[in-house]
Amino acid sequence: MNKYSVILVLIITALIFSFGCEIVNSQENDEAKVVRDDSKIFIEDRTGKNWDVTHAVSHYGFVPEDFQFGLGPFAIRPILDPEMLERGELGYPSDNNESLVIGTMLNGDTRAYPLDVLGSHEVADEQFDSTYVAVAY
Amino acid sequence: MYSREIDDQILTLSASGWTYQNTFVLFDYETESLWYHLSGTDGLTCISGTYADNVLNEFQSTLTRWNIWVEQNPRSKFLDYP
Repeated sequence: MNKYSVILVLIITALIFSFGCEIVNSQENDEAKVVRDDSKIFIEDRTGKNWDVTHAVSHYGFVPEDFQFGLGPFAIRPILDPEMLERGELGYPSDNNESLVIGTMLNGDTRAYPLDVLGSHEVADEQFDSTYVAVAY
Repeated sequence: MYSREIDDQILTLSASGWTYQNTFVLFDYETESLWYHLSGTDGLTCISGTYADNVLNEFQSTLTRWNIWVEQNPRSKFLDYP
């Protein structure tokens, strides 16, 4: 192998290595893509939707680049109008079940939300009598 | 657990797909305002959008295990979700 071949191999190796790093970096880099338009600041999510965060930045000191993931507004859907089981109904857990839950009590009504369900929806939009609440994990 | 009533409007709160400092940023379907639990405060603060600077009040909730919860609250209901 002459010296030109060695140099060529080194260049190709360097190109492959830098390309690999680029892929790794783009996968690990979850920070928001920030778009500035006149006096407005937007963060663009993975669906291409722009979110105006001007007030969050100017009033609360948020750093636009520190918003992360940007999966889009419908990637994690809330539980709407959840149904509740009462004791004795099929599916009601036994008293010695050790699942993690968020327990709530409002307007004389007591309810529990298992984390394994709530965790994948983040929010359950609920109603306790005439009070509307969001149970969030 | 947070109120989702403001100015006689009922909001549908949802994850926005964003996190900030490892905390979910929520938004509401009705106005697409962004809501965030600011550290050191109670409730969800609207950090951007129609309801900027408004706060959705927080109600007490408990992270615990079902067996402990149901012992203290034997009439508790349980979320039915397939």
